[in-house]
Amino acid sequence: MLEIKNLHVSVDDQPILRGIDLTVKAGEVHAIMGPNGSGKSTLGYVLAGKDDYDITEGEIFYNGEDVLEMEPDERAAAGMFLAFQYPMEIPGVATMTFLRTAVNAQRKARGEDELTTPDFMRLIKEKSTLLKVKPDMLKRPLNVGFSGGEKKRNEILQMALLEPKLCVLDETDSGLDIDALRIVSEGVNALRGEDRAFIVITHYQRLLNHIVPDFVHVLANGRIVREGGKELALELEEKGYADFVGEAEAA
Amino acid sequence: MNMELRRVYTEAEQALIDGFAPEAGAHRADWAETARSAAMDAFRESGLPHRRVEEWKYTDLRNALREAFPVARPNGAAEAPVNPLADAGFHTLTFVDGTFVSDVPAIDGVSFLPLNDALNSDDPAVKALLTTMPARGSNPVFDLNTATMNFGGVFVVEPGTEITTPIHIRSVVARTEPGSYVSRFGVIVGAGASATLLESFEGEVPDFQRNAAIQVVVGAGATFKHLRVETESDSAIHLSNIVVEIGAEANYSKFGLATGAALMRNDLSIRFNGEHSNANIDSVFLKTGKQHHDTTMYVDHAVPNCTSRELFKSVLGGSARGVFQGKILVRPDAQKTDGAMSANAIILSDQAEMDAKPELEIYADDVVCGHGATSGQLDDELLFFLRARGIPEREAKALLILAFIGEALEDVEDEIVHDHLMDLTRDWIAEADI
Repeated sequence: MLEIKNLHVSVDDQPILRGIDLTVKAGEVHAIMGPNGSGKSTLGYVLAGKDDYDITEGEIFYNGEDVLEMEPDERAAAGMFLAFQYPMEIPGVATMTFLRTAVNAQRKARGEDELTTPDFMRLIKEKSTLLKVKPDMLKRPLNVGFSGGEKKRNEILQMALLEPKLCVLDETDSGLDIDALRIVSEGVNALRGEDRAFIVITHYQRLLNHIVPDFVHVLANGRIVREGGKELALELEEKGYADFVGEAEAA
Repeated sequence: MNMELRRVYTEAEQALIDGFAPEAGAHRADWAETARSAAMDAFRESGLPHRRVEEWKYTDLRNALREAFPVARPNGAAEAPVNPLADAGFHTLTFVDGTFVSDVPAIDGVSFLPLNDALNSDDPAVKALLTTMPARGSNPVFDLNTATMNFGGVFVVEPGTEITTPIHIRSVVARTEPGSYVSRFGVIVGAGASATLLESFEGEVPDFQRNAAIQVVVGAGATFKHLRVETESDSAIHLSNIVVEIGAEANYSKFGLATGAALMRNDLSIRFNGEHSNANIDSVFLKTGKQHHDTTMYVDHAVPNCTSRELFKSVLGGSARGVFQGKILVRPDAQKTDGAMSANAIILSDQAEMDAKPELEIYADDVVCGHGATSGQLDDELLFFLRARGIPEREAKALLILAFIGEALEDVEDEIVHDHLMDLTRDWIAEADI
């Protein structure tokens, strides 16, 4: 589904990612772990198409298509989704308006009919109940005055509504208390399936107790320095990242 | 030695002065004739305002108005284009090329005097209304209006009446020959009465000049809602004066949306004459291409205990230029004044420009007054967030622009008008160079 080959990315001539190779197949859950500043969030943004980054080398293919040639909205319509670490607040745009605009824009881009108001209302009711998002939250301006947990639940609600094929979760656990973490994880797990893949970016192992990965990749100083199964996350929890930081610098 | 100083007029100024010819068959009361002559004398003295006149620093009218088109005389032949608000059921008065083409709607508690009758009236209230000067004193555009006005009329809302259906004045230009259209309207809202007036300025034809003035007196305890929508062609010149006098315990609210005209200048004058009153002004300007938009506002807190709120939102694309000059004057006696003015702009291109000059002039010591001006681009982070959810760039910008002006639009309570304004805004965004 996703193939990243030798990806080098710089910001203001500062190399951030220095040769990433990653292959994600449908149905798999990959965790990207690593210390602060290792380039984890950059990877998420580059996949989503943020334009502050210079791709100096490498390629990204999504279902055989050259992702780097696609606009952010084209990537989204093709089924790529980034759950933001810091979801944006947009005063003046009602959450419901935003959700409906997004759903219908993607449907339109794929040549599907836009959802009618009753159909959309049914869909949103179903998904928001699942994620314990209260109706009054949907009437408020997007993320304005939302708590950290509400913002993250709202991100997962968007994911549930848009039904992407490749979901990238950027530090979705940050700022969540135990209950919110459980709700968010349940929302993610409900979406797991054979035709959907996840890349879970996280600093801590605790999220991976709830969303159990098939593969764990350790990112340090812009490179993947170690790969393994879910047990690697537990090892990291115990030993920390110190070894890898040193290893990457020496390399 | 005698030196005679002769004023040299531009071609346009000379044409405007020559246009001041006594009209055959026009009957005006003495007061109206006196006001007309005095206004023309004042214009002869001032000429068109230019950039060395402080209030016109950013809008050099003498330079911009190369040619003054002849004042169009009512010709009786015009036909009104489709009214976008035809289904709203408003009391509509339609003027096409200065000709009144509809019937005067029968509204209980409201009388309408066509301009010629108003200028021939002995009613002291009508006289007082039409001879009221802007709070800062007259200006050359207002003088020209007084000297050459030739269509319009005065509404009188009887004290204590509640007019729930809005009155809609359509001022349409349909004639293709270049002309200028000089209108004067007046509204007297009697004590304790309430009414809503919507003025729409339409005209898809190119090259016309409009000088539109309206004077409003809001009586004690009265409420007047004033809506103005301007959608004229982008080669028109639109100059207007809004002069509002507010009595005690009264409310005046104004919402304006303007998308048209090559050059637009609005002079807005609000004066509080009675205590415990409110004025709430919201304006939205959507301009692109080479459009120039200037709003110059003067709020005179002449008495204590009044509140004014002014919110101006500009969206500028292409190489459009926006100007906001706003002044709140709080006179020595006007204690407990509460005034807040803000002017915010979104600049959509490198060539667009906004000049904002908010000022407070406060002579009382127990007041709460503030002003703010911001201008900036659409937030790239927000745009990326919306696009990452699959919303194409233009649609994402549209959402953010609608969010930006939403704060001003939300004060428009009439649902039909609100939806109409949203449609106009969406149409503008769909076509604008953004």
